[in-house]
Amino acid sequence: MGMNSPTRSWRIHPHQIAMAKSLLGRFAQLLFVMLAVSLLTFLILSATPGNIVDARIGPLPNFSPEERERIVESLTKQLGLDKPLWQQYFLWLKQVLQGDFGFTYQGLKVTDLIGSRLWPTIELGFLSVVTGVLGSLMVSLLAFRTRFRAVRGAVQGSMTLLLVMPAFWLGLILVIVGASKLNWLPAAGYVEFSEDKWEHIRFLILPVLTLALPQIALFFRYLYSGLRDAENSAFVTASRARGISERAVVYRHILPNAALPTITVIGLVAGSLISGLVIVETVFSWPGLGALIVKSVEVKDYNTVAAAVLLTAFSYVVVAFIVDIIYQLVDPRTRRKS
Amino acid sequence: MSGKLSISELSVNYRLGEAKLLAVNALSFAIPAGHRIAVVGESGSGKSTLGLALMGLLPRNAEVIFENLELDDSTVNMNNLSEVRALRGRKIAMVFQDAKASLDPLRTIGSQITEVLKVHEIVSSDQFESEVHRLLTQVEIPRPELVARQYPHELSGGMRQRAMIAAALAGRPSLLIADEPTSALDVTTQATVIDLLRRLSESGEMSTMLITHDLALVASFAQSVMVLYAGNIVETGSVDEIYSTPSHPYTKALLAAIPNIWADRKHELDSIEGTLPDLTEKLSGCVFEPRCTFGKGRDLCKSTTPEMKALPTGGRVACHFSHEVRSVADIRGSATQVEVKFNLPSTDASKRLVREFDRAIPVVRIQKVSKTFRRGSLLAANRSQVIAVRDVDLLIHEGESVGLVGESGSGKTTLARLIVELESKDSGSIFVHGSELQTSEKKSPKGDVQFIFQDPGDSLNPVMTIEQIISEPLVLRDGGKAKDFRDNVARLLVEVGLRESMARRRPSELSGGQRQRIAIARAISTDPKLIIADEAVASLDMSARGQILNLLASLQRAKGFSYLYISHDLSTVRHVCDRVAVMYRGRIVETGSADEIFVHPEHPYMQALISAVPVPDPKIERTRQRIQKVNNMEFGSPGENSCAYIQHCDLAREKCSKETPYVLSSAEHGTACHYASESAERFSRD
Amino acid sequence: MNGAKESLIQRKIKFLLGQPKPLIYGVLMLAPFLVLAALPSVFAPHSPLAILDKPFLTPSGRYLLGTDEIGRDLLSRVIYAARADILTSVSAAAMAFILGTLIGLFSGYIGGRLDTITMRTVDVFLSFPTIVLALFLIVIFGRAQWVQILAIALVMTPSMARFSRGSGLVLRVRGYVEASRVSGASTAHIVRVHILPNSMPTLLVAASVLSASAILISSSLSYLGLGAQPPDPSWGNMLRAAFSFVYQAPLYGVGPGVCVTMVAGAYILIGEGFRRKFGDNQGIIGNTKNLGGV
Repeated sequence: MGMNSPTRSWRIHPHQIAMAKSLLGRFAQLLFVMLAVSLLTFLILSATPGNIVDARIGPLPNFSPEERERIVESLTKQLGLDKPLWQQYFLWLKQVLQGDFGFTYQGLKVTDLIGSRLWPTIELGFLSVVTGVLGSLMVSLLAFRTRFRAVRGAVQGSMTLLLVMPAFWLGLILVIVGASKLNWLPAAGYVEFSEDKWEHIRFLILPVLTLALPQIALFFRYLYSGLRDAENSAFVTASRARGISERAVVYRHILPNAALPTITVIGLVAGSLISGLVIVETVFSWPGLGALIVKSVEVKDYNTVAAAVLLTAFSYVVVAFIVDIIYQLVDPRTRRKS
Repeated sequence: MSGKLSISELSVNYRLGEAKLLAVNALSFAIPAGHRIAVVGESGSGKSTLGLALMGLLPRNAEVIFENLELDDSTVNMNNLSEVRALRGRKIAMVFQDAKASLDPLRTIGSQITEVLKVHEIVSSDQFESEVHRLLTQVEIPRPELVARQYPHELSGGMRQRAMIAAALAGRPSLLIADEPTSALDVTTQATVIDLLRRLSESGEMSTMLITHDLALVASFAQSVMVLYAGNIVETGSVDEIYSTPSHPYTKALLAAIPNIWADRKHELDSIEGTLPDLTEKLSGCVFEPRCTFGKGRDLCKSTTPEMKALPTGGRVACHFSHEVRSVADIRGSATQVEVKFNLPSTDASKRLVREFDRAIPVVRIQKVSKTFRRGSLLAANRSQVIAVRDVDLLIHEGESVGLVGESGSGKTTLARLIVELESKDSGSIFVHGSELQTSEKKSPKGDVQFIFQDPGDSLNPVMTIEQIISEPLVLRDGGKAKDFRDNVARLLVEVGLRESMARRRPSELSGGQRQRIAIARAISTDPKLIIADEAVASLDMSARGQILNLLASLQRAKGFSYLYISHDLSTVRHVCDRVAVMYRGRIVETGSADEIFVHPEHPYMQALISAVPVPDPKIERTRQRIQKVNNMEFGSPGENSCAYIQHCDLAREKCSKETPYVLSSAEHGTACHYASESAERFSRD
Repeated sequence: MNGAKESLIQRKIKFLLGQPKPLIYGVLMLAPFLVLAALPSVFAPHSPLAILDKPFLTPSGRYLLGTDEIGRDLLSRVIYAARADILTSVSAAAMAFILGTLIGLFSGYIGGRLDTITMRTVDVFLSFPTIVLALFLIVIFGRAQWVQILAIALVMTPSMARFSRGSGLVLRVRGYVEASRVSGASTAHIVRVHILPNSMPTLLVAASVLSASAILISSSLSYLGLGAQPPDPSWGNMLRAAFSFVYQAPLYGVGPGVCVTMVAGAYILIGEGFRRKFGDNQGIIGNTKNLGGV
């Protein structure tokens, strides 16, 4: 039996069943949200100026207008587009659930195209959130523990500045400094990891930083004010009154309590990361989902847009679900009383 | 034996910008080892500052000046942070007011106690678990193995406070400071926690310093009492001496302001006029002079600060005229008087009164009303429901004051909110002035029932002027604008004892007592038939409390409306009400005239409530047998067909688990208990 | 007469100087942009569209910020861009503010089923990525400025509604609201007399954060080519061009970049100023952080 064993045994808690039940409920809610998102996507799609059939079959350059007309007609019937809107929705939903999003303008399968763009986006997004979390943790603790007001002020000032800088301007600065002036890093582009792993990482650095710096600033806002709030709470005074060392008070009591609200924010940011990715991938010519969405919108490739939107909404919902689980693991108060 | 403490010339200043606030002024006192001392004072008296100063936990803008501090014969430099830190939790430990906020919500009780054991190296690591169990047992927590694994939010208020005491005891301190440890707790829990603190220090292993605003509370606990006013010790002495022959006018006034549930209810409550002096200014003369009934205006008191002088009985007092104070006969609260009140018989007159009421049309008639709260949405699995009010019958007659008592969570506030439709009932019917709520087409006129809320800081819209606030019910009933009712507002302000010029001010410029007067003025503006006062004085200071209670009583005499007065504080209920209904877990368990119910309570729960009220007399307190809210697990938790109180009743039998007892609504004194007569008999015997 | 007038002015100055510092700095920072947006022709030295000189000239006395890829004056383009960017963002923020506040306050105050439905709808909108939704709407309804404004307003309304709902929820249990209900007040009366005035401090903070978000979203859209269409300048499309020519003219983007940052920063400062001015007496101001934009 190690020194910590009694403490550890207390943490095992007879709450798993209650937790599973509450997660099940949450899951049902998320299903509902997804369904509503799909309906909204469908409605926007059917409100698009172009016909869905046009969108589905593409330009068909090798056919005459009469032939095209016939194809459109038969496809309209086949797709049930002469039916009422709500029936169309269920037909569409059925296909979507089977993983069929139709074809792009170029005649590629939408799912294939998106599949090829998925990995670079996940890599970029994941690394930026990790950097954001670790960075904000360091910066917040620095500002919280320092004795010098100037350090605190400098951190707060620079964090506010980062928060109001649009991603493309921040990216431009990083490129000017890192690429054009110092020539350390490539300005934009992408190299497969399998091709050259070092080159791949060099191309990653600027986009990851561009995404992560505003996140650091945002998480800092929450974490720092959380630290200040926790510092002033009664249980911290009580811990000090029990003779707990300053270090233990900060890391065992203040930090965990301060981190709680930040977890929600991290989840929100991670879930809606695509908004940032749209810009950053465009800025750095990163071949991910964000850049794909922009391009598809420009060329009115609605099938691709619909698929990408559903996918990002889905990822938002999944991240929210994961955050819920994490929150319940960390905060005993969200678990039900036995 | 340890816990010997002596302090000389301890002062604490707070820097507030340019100004300095002298919170504690040259305190000197000493206590022997294993002693129980109570430090008593109003908010702003410096009592909490004293406690935090001893712990070295004052905020950064505080400055501590002291001549000498000795604990267990070793001197301590209070300005040497590392020296003070070494004492924290080890030699001196502290228990705080709000146990919920004072325990880390993310850690189990066990791990928080273990942390203390670890940092002070009290026992070796393989004994942590058993030591935690021992400590939890010591503070009388049942099932310590379970509680050690629980988180603070899973425990009741009383259990949390016990857990915090256990964490304080873990370092085996020689001095335990308890700062208002019970003011966040229910009455019955309050009494048991104070009892626990007393028992813990009876072994003589440590001294205990109880810091409180409630002088009544210390009678059973303390051996000696130190009364603070505006940062100064005004009197100190043994607890018997302080209660029987107070030598300082302030002590005397504090004792007189304790509402007494055994006293005759129709007299005006004593209150201390005026407010604390401004401590940022240099004061000359006696600090209490402006509020003193003995010394106000006397030259000596105005010019010279009284020295601490020894009294023949052993205590010390800072008053020029203490001999005068001691010689004036006590107003009330003496032991003999209390004993007489114990056996006050219910008069025929009050019985007759109850019968007459039955014939008149009631202002409010409540029949079989129930209300259940459901939390969480339909889909959420953590959906829970709380039955707040269950099958309640209640009548309120014209001109009558009905008291609704019970601990927090008993459903009394919900019942009141049902009457004014702030909540909607699930079943049953409520008639206000003959018309039924939620069904009747003819609504009772707007403003017939008014509500006075607990927190006057919260019940006045901060962006409105007093005129707009008071006239709002009139505007809503009669239409028009606030300024159309200027005359009404002026009259109402005078009626609640304020100046007419106050109409133009805003709530933030007013004191707590003044705000509550505004809330009262708003409530009486529409000449209501019924005023519901929900803990209307609970958030006020002792002195303002008495004034507001007196105002409520005099307004009723003048206007003849009815009160539904809701409170957990039996002594104020006794002061205001003709009739009392006791609620427990959503049911009314006892009802009857106030005279009857306070003297001959029949329900074991009401008996426990009354037993928990401290008698302001140490001699009685020490020998008094309390009827307690026990933990009776014999019949399991209360079910659909059992008595709601079964889990805490010392008289529970088989029948109580099978059949829910009801109050007979026709009875003058009805009790929802199968064994009411037996229960009543044992109470009068005790 | 004169003396009284002066003392009034003095009092006003005193009042202004007594405001929290971030508020003063924020207003001082924002004011020049508002002036430029209102009267670009007065301050711009050249036409924003005229080709005046060689491309990529470095800053000089003649062209304070240099020239762009076809030799137009960058300073003039930056100044004219302020008009489109600020108009779009302010109108969008105002619309989102009014709509979101109304929905949120009523939903939070009334509660119950209405609140559940509103909040589920908000959830659905929030799970859509902001920018993508705006992109979508603009592509469908065209690139006119009013479409942009509507699109940005629409994507910001749900978070504003959720925020002000919190304020409604907090205030509905206040004693003065309940006292008003006991006296028979209608929902409209309570929202107008009690909830709205007491939410105002928080709502002002929210409005500032919202405006900052709006300028960031609108410039992001024009960066992606969905804002003002070339040759009309906007800070977003200028930055896009700057990025393409980062090796030829590294300082191309400094003007528009600094402008966007300053305007957004000014709004945040003003919000911080409001926060300090009103304190957190309702306990809900802290939530404005949830309105954080892109």
